[in-house]
Amino acid sequence: MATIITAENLKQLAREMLKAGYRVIAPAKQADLVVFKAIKDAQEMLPESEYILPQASFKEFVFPRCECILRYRFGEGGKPVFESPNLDGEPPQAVIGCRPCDAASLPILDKIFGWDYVDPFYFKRREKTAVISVACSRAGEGCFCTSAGYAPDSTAGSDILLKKCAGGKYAAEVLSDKGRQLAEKFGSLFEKVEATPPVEVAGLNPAFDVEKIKPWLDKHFDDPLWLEIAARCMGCGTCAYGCPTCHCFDMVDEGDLAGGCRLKNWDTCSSALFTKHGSGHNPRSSQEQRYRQRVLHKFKYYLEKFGLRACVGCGRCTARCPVNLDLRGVLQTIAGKQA
Amino acid sequence: MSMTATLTNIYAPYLMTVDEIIDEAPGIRTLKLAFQDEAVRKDFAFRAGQFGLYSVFGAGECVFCIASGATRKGYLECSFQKVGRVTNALRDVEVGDTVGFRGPYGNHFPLDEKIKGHNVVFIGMGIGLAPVRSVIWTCLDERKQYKDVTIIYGARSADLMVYKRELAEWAKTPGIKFVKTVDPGGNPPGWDGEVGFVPTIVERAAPSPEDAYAILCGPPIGIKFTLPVLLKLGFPPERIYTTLENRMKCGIGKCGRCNVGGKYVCKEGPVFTAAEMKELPAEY
Amino acid sequence: MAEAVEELRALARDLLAKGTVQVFVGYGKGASPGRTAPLIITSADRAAELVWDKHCLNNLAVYLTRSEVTKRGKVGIVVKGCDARAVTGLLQEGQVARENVVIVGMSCDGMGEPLLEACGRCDVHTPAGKDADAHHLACDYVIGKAAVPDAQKEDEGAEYADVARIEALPLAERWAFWQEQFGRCVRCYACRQVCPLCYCKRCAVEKNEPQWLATSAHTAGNFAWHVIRAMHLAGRCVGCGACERACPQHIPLSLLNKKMAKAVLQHFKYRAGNDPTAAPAVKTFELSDENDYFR
Repeated sequence: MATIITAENLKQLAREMLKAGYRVIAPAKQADLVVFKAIKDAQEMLPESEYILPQASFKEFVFPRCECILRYRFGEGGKPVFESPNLDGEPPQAVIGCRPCDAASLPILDKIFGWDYVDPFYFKRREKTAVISVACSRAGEGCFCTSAGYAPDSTAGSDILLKKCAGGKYAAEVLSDKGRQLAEKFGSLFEKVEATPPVEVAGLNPAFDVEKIKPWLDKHFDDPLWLEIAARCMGCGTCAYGCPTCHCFDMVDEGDLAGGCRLKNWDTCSSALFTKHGSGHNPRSSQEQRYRQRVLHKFKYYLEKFGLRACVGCGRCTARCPVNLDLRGVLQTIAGKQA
Repeated sequence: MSMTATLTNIYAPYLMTVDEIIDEAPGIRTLKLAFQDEAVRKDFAFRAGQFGLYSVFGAGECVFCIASGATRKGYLECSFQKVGRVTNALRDVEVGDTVGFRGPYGNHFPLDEKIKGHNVVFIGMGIGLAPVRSVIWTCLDERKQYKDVTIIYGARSADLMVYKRELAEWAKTPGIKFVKTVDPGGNPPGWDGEVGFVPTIVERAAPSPEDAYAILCGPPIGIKFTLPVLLKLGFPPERIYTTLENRMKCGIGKCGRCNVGGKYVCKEGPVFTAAEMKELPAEY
Repeated sequence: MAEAVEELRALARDLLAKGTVQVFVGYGKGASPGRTAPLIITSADRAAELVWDKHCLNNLAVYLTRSEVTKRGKVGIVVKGCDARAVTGLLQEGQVARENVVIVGMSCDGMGEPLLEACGRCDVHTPAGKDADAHHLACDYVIGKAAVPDAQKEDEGAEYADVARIEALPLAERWAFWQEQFGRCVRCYACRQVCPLCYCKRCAVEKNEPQWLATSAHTAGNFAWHVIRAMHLAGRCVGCGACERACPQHIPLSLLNKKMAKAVLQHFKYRAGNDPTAAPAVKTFELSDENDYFR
């Protein structure tokens, strides 16, 4: 027994979810880019054949780029009072049409936002989010999911995984309670068939053996390779802000004499200011030290702490980088070295 | 019921009233803060070595250790130097004003677990005395549970010393070997303490490593030069404790900023042994 | 271009081997299809990695103020005619000492496939060499000969047609246009980081006593950021387009810089980066300057 949904019904699903008050997030056109957008109309949803990956991840829908974490005002005699924003009023949301690599970022982000102190802002949004991903029927030039431990049809993080099959249809695999509830609620759009039809899933040979990465990183903190690799890094945040698993943030107060907000804003370890002390001392004063931190964080520290690498192999960092700094290439180089 | 229904805002601070302002030295101030919430005032507890994030609404948050003793209830003290936006805003607050405090965060000096019942050597440098002072207070409040207590404190000059009242008390307290020093040239007329950099004075004072723990804090360069002296005196690296500071924002291991190698200073620190420090890359 | 790259490689090899420069900045193979990447090498044997093709878009002048590069010693740098203007700007502003740089000018018929729009209007396909007069940056070496003639210095009409289109919009539409654009900015600061003229050690947005500009990526803050950056670049931006190409959100940043450049040209008859001896427009006051905007 298998479940099928047609491409037309997938669009209809978006339509019905919008009507039911969901925020529907789907790959859509924005000028000459494909981005994850909260669509107003199912027509905006791009068919799967028109994109491999939107230019950024969908993390801003569970981890906004600028988020108020408390609202304060100055009351009697200037005494501050504050309240915490209530996310209970946020609508349920569904990401439709993301790739398995993007979906896999959620279990990875869960780790840091749930480490001892449970971040309500992330988890309340996460709980309201259903993920319907579409397996890749072709790989992009920069993709390396299979090197990172994933695959064009990984199930991690997805509530329903769709796989392209013949006749403009998708085989739908329901993977969670949330997925089950959705498939039931919008049951008329899915059909049951006898056998799982043949599906189109891309093959992608791994570019490197990821098991070789950490052993080298463990022993080569001071290796001259870092300067060689990172010499051209500009120290902007294009990689971090497009990356599905980058989660570092800044906290600032913004307001006026009447009051304001304490904000949680995306930040990037590539920035020269990231670790600069008030005294002026900076433990990572040079760009190759900052680039090293990025790689170590994703492929060593996160793995040691949480058992997962903070990278899904989507390749966006390289594609977006103004100087085309090639993470996949860096990892290939490292994997080829003696630990 | 949703699994997130009971989640609290982990970024929400306690509201504190500024009870007292003490100017310790030029540019260095201590604030004594009382919890505004009755229940919190009664129940709040922390361990010496832990830190918090202190905020002025509108200016932001800043990280300092909790400088008062863990045995003192209902209030906290923090000491800070004015270096930027938030510390300047903290200097503008007056007695009776409200500031925020989030904490206690981080690990602690293992007083109960390891240090009680043994000799303790406290070494502080400049404003680095603040976290050590938290341990000293806690220790002196339970004096009988420790054996010999040595306190060695140095600053660049006499006027830059912090907690001057307590230094005078400790000097007079029987059962405490107290040594104070200033850098060469920092001794005013009538100075009755040592003159020399702290590492030199530690070597001269030669505290015994026998059955002893060392707790030291100061600027990175001070720690860098004092550690070898302690090792030379025979203190094993597992019995030398220090506390690191690093740029922080969330203080709870999420914002990704404060790690030294694979250790988050806010979670696996700020207290580290010399043995643990040896394993860390020089990224602090 | 095949001959040019061999000549370039030989030159770089020679400069590094002889110790004339300690670091050489050029273009190397990119990681993504249709791209090259800046290549920063310190040994002669790596000169073979240099490339020169239709995808050498980056403005490498930005590396002349990055200490990771300059701390190595003398810098050899590959520039196209457009990039050379940024080098001129840095020289005018005292950020680079001429004797610390060996400038290798490359003759360029235009970049991009299809050809970038700005390249179609280029008037400096071949940078000036050692025989240049004092009013032009003299590259130490010039490689290649452009097949395409320099465009005529055209009237502002063609050059600023895209700016004029925005200027023609009613205010409400113009506001809506920019609100939409700036709403998409994520404050990655790629625009700032790739800009050779954005070399401030402490950027205006990083000053926090007081916080002049919000650091947060909300529309109002983004608006302030981009407008202030354009203002700080007025009369200094050389129009290389690196900022716009770097922006991951494809915000048409060059419109802002061109608007400023148009105003500076109109009021001060000055174009940034052409003449190393020229006094920069925003740093100079002549009694003959227009002042009818003082009211």
